[in-house]
Amino acid sequence: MDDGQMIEQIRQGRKEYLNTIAEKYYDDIYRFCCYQTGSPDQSYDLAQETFLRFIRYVDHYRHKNLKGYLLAIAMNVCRDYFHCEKKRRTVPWDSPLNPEGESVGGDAASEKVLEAERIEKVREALLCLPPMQREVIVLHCCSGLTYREIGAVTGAGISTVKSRMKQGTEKLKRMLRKEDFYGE
Amino acid sequence: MGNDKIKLPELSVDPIKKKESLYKIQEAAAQKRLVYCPSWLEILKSQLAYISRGYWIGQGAFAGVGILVFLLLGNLSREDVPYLFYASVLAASIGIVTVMELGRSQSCQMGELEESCYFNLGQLWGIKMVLSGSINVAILTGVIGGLSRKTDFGILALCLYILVPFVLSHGCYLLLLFWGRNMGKKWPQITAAVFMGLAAMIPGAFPGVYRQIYLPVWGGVFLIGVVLLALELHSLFKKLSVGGEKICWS
Amino acid sequence: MLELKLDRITKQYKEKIAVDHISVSFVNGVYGLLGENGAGKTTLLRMICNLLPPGEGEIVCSGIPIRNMGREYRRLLGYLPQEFGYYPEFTAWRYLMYLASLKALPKELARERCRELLKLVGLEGEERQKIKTFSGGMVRRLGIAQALLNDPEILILDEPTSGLDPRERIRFRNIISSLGKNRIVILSTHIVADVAYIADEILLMKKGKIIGSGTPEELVKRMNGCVWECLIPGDKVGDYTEKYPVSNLKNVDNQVRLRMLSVDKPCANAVPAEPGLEDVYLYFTEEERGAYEDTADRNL
Repeated sequence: MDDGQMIEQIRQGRKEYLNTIAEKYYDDIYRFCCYQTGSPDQSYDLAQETFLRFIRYVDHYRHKNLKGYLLAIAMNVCRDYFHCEKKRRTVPWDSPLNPEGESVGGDAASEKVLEAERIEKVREALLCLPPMQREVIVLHCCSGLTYREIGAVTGAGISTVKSRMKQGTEKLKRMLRKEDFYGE
Repeated sequence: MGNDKIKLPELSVDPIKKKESLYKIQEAAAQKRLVYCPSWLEILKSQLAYISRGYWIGQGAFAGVGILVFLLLGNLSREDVPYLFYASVLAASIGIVTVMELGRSQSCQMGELEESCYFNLGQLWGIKMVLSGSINVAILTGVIGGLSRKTDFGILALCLYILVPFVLSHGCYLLLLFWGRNMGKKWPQITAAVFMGLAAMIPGAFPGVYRQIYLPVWGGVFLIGVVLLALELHSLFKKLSVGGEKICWS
Repeated sequence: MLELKLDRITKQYKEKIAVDHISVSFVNGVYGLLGENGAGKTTLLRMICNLLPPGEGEIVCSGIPIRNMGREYRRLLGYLPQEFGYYPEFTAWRYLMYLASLKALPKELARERCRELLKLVGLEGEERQKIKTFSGGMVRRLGIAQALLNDPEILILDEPTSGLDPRERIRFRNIISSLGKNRIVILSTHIVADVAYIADEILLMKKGKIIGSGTPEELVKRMNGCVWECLIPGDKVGDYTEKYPVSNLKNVDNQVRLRMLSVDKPCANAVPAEPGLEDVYLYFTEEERGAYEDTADRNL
């Protein structure tokens, strides 16, 4: 069942599809919040809050792009989080892959260590960007939205989105090494 | 787009924390009382299904009469006045179908119940008026188009000659809907339609009124009619918005 | 849980005061509005449904005045007017689907609800019949079904049992009784038996005022010591009915058993009787409350 059909079912009174939508998009929203805020622990709560807000206002939902809509809510939830916490850079990162605790030997271990380092570098670099540029980069590169969709989510015009993308990317290039930037 | 796409590392999600979050979301979903908010188009479509057969027959009859009259007269070479004459009578009486449909709420004692619903009587009547108005305007547009080919009058003049009886008659019909003890009853409405039809014949008896010199008079009467109609509609909907005391009570 | 609060609600028509400064609070449960014809019950219920603006006072639903809630209030409401009609060509199914569309129910849900409710009110199988072929009782049951379509949180029923035969009355009572747990149900009637067994609270209305209220047990307790039964000769009946309010009268052989209200023992062979809600109703609606008023009020 596609998003449109699920929304139609919800409008018809089938509440169980609210859970289906949450299960489908939880990971995407979580990752977005993670990169936006740099705080994996908080991001579970932020993702939860995104879906709670979605449920609260679902009666009036009229959009065509559900993923974009959810990301827009997530974006506002993250902005509210920044506003409350006033934390922009100094959030400790609990990497799920802690190289010091690992006892797996050989190539697998070094792969994981490298990956963990990369995540850390990208995370820090992203947090150094202005929030609007960070939003655009994460929406495009993590959530896979097109520029037009990003424009709809952030409320900015396409040219603004492109310019933020360009400026953000250049800053990241300067901060990161090539292999961190482009991945494998 | 492709060249500057940074590959952001895939982050893993802790399944336990995710499960906890999803559980809270499930609780919120269970408590949510879903409320259906249809769009205006959906409302229009759904109400279309409940308009009475009598209404469609009535509208069809008026449209049919209009076409028939023009076809018949088209075969005879006559002066201008008879076309206008019949068209005026049509314009003056066509509103009766709308008003009888609206009046069903009162005549069938459904008004009080309808008024207590989410889409109350005011909104229901609004939808029916919009629908009906569109159909009537379409029919009259056809009539005016036909007239413009068979007569020498300009389009503006024809619009005025047809819209004046249309607007004035609607003013009368609406009064019957919410004024006096005969609210919503059929026979007063039909009688009114007959009177309106007869009244529309009056200008036909004085061909001089269709001369260009009297156009401002027609324009003035039209404006007054529109203002009166607007005031009536405003008053009607205002009454209905505060409960429709007496209008819809059984 | 909703709370519906009436604060000094008043409605006056020229000389007549239909509703006179009524203040009541409603929460989940079944409320019986008992009163004679002309007591102002319908006017009060119309104001609660926001069909009639009060002349004075305010009706508030969980803190918000209902006149400010507009259609969101009507979404919570289910209403059965005392007199209602139907479009003659409608079948029972079409009637319910029509009202479901006015109550903004999505189509699938509307179909489900219509099926459920037709079964609940015992009209299953009649859905394709034109309503004009229905008996009065069947029309009334259809009316009750439509009031429940949107699963209302506030259910207002104005004389819902009028025209129903005893069996249908019992069925109706069972339906209503089960509904009161999760919503506010206000039903008005002048028939005590309709509310005696199902109401959580009874409001007695007379001449636009609420003259007594309480649970059926509380109200009945107030009548302790005021209700008497005695056997008297047939020719003396007139004397007693003039002097005391009589709630029941039965021919037994060639005498008459009278049940009446009185502070003191009305006659030598009178025995005290267990008061009932009928007696309460009689007491509160009597013109001359007289001497037994003190006893009843003493029992509070």
